[in-house]
Amino acid sequence: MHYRSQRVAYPYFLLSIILFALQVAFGLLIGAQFIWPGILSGLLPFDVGREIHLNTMVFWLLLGLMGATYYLVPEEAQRELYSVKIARVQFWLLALTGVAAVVGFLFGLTEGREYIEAPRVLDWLIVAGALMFLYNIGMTVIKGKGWTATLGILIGGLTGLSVLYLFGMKFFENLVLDQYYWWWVIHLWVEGTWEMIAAAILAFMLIRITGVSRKRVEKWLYIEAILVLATGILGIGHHYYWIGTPEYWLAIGGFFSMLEPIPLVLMVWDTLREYKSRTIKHQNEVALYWIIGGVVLHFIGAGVLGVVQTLPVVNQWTHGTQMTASHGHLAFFGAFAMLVIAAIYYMLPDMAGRHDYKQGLGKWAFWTMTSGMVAMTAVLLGAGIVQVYLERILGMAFVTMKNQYMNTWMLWRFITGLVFAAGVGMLVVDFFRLPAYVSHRFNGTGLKRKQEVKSL
Amino acid sequence: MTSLRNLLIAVVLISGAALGYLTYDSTAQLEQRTIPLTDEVVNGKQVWQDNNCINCHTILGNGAYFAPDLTKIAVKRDPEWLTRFFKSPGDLWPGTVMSKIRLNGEDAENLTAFLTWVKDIDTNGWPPDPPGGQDSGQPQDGSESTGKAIFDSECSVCHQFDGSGGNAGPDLTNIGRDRSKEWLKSFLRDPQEVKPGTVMGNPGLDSEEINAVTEYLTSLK
Repeated sequence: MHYRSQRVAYPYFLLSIILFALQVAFGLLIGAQFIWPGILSGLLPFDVGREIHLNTMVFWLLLGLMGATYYLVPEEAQRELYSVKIARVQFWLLALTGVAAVVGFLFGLTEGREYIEAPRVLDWLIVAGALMFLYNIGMTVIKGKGWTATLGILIGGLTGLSVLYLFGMKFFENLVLDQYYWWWVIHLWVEGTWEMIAAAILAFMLIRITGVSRKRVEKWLYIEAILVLATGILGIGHHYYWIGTPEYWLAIGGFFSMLEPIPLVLMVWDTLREYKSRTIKHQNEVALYWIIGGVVLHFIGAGVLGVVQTLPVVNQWTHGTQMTASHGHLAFFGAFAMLVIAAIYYMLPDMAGRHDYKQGLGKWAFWTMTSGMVAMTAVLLGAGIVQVYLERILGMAFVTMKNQYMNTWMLWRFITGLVFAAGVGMLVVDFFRLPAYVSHRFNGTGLKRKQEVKSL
Repeated sequence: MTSLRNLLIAVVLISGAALGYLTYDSTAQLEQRTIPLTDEVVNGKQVWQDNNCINCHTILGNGAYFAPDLTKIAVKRDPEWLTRFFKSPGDLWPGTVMSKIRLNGEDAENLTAFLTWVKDIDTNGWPPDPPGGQDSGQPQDGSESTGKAIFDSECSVCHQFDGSGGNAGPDLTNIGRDRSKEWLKSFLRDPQEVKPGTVMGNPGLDSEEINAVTEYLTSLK
């Protein structure tokens, strides 16, 4: 059963894809500056390029997750969205806030704290957007036909995400406290609340794309959410080893974060099992590629590459090196980027009521981006190992290490980045060929046309 | 399903309560693990953020991997050098990509105060002493190999020696021909006294380290 108001997801996905392309473009720029520091350094110094690289990522992923939520909630709650108008106003509010933030970065307006650099006044606009969003989906569910496990975990995650953002807004006088609460935002987002949201959206898609019973999928959704939070909340301790916090965090962080891969393994196992016991042969193969590719790279990037350096005895050597960058790139890509792309590929054709679109380019985009990112992760891992050896074991100065031993690695990183960017180019082209875009284009917004609803 | 839901809620409440208690305790221990804050340190932290330092550097290991970690920079460089550097990095380090940063005197001093405060944070021993480097605990016999380790870790950022190192300072490959060991030793003890106005900061080496690096630098003459 489809609802007219699900279409408000469209502009969220559109902006999400545009910002993703922007993120990758800035990634290429700073990747090049690593090798040739002079490139555009007067106009766009490394620090500005990097904060745009990080913030466009946070922003496009959040917009994508919000779009997916707007698509999912009416179907789950079995009623139209509480207010299409709020969803649209919220979209424009967040879009303009995002543009203002990026323009501000270009002019040096920053709070200088990674991932959450947006200035205070924009923080409040983001909070306003989040409140409108939570109110809108909350009212939809309350007025709808009751809660499902998917809805509960999704909205729990979204609420947690919003509350945690507040801890990133304060100026802390003490750097130790600053980093302590900064991790509440960053860690409890990506290893807590975002995981809940992603798992719920994944469950929504799995039920529809495999035809496996809701009961079975939601049981595993619960189990995964329980394990993610049981290991992830105190797993924050792996960020509290060296920042000035007490020594007991070494034991707490080590213990809980060693367990963090368990729910990620379960997610792979569960998704593959649902796929194998599918009762329908879904036409939308590209969506399935991204779903399955996502859970696998989520496990490798976040689980494997995370757990190998999470124990203090290893982490004291690898902390703050290219090994972290290697882990970060594959984890974000596998856990969240691929999930948002999967949602776009599933929901846009679904929105238009037809999954029989041409899938060749989508599959090319999948394989190109995936191989580009896996190769980049491998290169960064190699670079990290060399860095650890020279800098941490031999005690060579960072600058000497970087200038004399990193250029070849970083050249390969740039080349793998170009491969990835080529895949993103295909994705962008394909986005504008997906059925929803076509119907969107020829039928105006589609939201006002009753006859179209019947055709869905 | 209801029992799974209740278990989920219980997990959130228990883990949340545990994190809350640990946060309370970690905050209470802050006084023993950091030295008291001054206005200069707090203002310096604001300078650190306003200039987006974390998007090139790491501090306490967190940040970007484009430039050195600055947790212990105030151990390696003396405050006067740091303040001079922040006012005009290109003067002390020609060609640095940081040359666009030009802090006014007050901001530069505050940033130095901030980084000086940071070096005393009790980080549970991070970063560890390099086991293969100069502080490896092996006896420093004044040999060339110890000297090379010191050169790689301290001097090579700015100076070339035998084809390896940076370009900010003079190439030291032939320094053994141009200067005597005694001159080098007294210069390394206090560069400003021997050569007033030099851009080189005090490298902060003890006399054994000075002997070792002098042996290494004069080994090619």
